[in-house]
Amino acid sequence: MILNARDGKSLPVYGDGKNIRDWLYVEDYCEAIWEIIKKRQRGVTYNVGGQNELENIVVVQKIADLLDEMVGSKEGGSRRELITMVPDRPGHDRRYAIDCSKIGQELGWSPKESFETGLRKTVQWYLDSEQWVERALSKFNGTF
Amino acid sequence: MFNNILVTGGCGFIGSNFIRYLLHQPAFSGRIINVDKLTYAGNPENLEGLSDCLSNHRYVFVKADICDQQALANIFDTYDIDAVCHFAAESHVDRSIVSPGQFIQTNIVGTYNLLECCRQRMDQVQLFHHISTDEVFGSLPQKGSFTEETPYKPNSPY
Repeated sequence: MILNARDGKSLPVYGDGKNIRDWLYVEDYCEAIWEIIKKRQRGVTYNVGGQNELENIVVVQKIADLLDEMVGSKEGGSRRELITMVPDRPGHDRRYAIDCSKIGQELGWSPKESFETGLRKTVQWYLDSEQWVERALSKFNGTF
Repeated sequence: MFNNILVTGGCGFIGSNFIRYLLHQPAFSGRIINVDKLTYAGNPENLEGLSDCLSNHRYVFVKADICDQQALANIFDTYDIDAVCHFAAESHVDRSIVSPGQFIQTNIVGTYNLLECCRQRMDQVQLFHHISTDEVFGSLPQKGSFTEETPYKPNSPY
């Protein structure tokens, strides 16, 4: 989605775009895993979440807005105009939300990044990693 | 702390981030053995730039399938594995609906193979950490959230 937005290509969104996911920055997740492993507990389960419930369409709008800000808007227009609704996929669950209070209470873990700061770091990584991106795209002939 | 952590699926998105994170933790001075099958979802370039650690022999990559019991046994013995962090899985929901077979093999049989390796080396392996997904809980209405006690009710073979 970030690369399509960068290049001014279509931004496809499934169904009505209102499926909800709970977003978590990957380094915050890595920290949570390490905190759990360090405790050496056996037979214990932790839910890890970012307390960032967002509709898919809102996530894509935020990506479009960030690219407009970070690389400049496309010929004066907003990248939001690239958003295209496509037929829903099978097995597309409507909403996930994680109660991560247990890991907070027991291990003192909480995410450091907000959705906005985490997404900005993610977009910046893609913009900075041109060689990685080109090689990954060529592996998939440009499509996932 | 652990000396030889086996990370499965370490060339994937989360696995590669975890390896990078862990090698920079002052509290961890051990070695990471990354076992990855390198399917479409794995990219060794995710771990480029770890050369400092490579020269210290703190990071080892082994291309292997967790469905290959003999390969796993060799890895556990060769590298004296004392902890496992298991990320490896087929995870593309659409694919799991069209052809579930590979998901049964990797996600179920592969996990079983790892557990067997641990069970056969109870004095050696101290911890098995299994990464899962909120998809196991199925879908929620507009309100409520999944806790650790929520029953599993998945909507796809994944």
